[in-house]
Amino acid sequence: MPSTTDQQLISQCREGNKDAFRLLVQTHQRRVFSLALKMVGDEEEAKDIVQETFLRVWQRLGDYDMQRPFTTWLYVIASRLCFDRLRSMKHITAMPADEQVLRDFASDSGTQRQLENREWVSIVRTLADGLSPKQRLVFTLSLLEGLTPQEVEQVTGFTASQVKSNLYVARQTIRERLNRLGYE
Amino acid sequence: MDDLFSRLQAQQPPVIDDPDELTERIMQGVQGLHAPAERSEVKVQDSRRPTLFVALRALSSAAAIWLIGVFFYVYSVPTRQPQPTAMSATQSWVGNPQLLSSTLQNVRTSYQRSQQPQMLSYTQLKKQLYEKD
Repeated sequence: MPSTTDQQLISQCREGNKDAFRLLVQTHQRRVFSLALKMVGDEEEAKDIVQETFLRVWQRLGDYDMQRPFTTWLYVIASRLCFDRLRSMKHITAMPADEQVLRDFASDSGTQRQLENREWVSIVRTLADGLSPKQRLVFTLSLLEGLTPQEVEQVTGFTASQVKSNLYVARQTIRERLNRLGYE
Repeated sequence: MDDLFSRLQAQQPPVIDDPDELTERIMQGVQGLHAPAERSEVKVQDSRRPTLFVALRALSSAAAIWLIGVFFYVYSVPTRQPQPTAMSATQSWVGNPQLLSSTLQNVRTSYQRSQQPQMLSYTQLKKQLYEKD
């Protein structure tokens, strides 16, 4: 069930209340930005995706099923935009500097240091290098965003076996990549 | 590897450098759009279009089914077997007295022809005469 606050805000948005929509944007824009940045690996692209996502949310609020969690619906819209953007983008190969960021993060297990955006980009670029857009989407949602397999199915529209196989291949690819970089 | 992912999941999500600016950008984009409620009114006005699409789709489906039916009907009508042009010896004799008699007649005619003296031309006779010699 969606949270009461989200439901109330959405009801108000449906009546054309833009202040309620502003509050909805402020509440969820970081979540969408997180997904977009990890998917496309570029801050400006990620911001564009956030903007486009909320414009679509506004346009399609009439189609939203109030019984489903709002965040899942938001992820559906955002992940489709990320997926489309990823397919149209050129393949970006991880650079040695990106690999160094991953090395530093992996070796620095003692401290609880928070990653900066550029570090996130480098780590994701290194890990997801060589993954197809589908594999990258499933990998980002389940291993980086921490969604359950059922939630990933709902967000992506993939079947359980598709989610499982894409995640398996993604994990294998990343494992090989980490082995090459000297990790177990 | 799992340890790496659990540590990444434990991280705070990436931060938007200027969240208010992004919110403003989004709200400015929304200004030019219909409110969701207004949009649903537009939807009602446009409801004829889906009806037309549904009707066209039903019509084209019916046409496709009819064509498929015609196809199967045409191919299910038994076609005439081609008549054999030549029959084997057993097929030609058995159970066909007319054919049997005509064949016997052919045998007889052929026999009679072989028994008849041949009409030879002068050159042929001359040739046979010289060959005997």
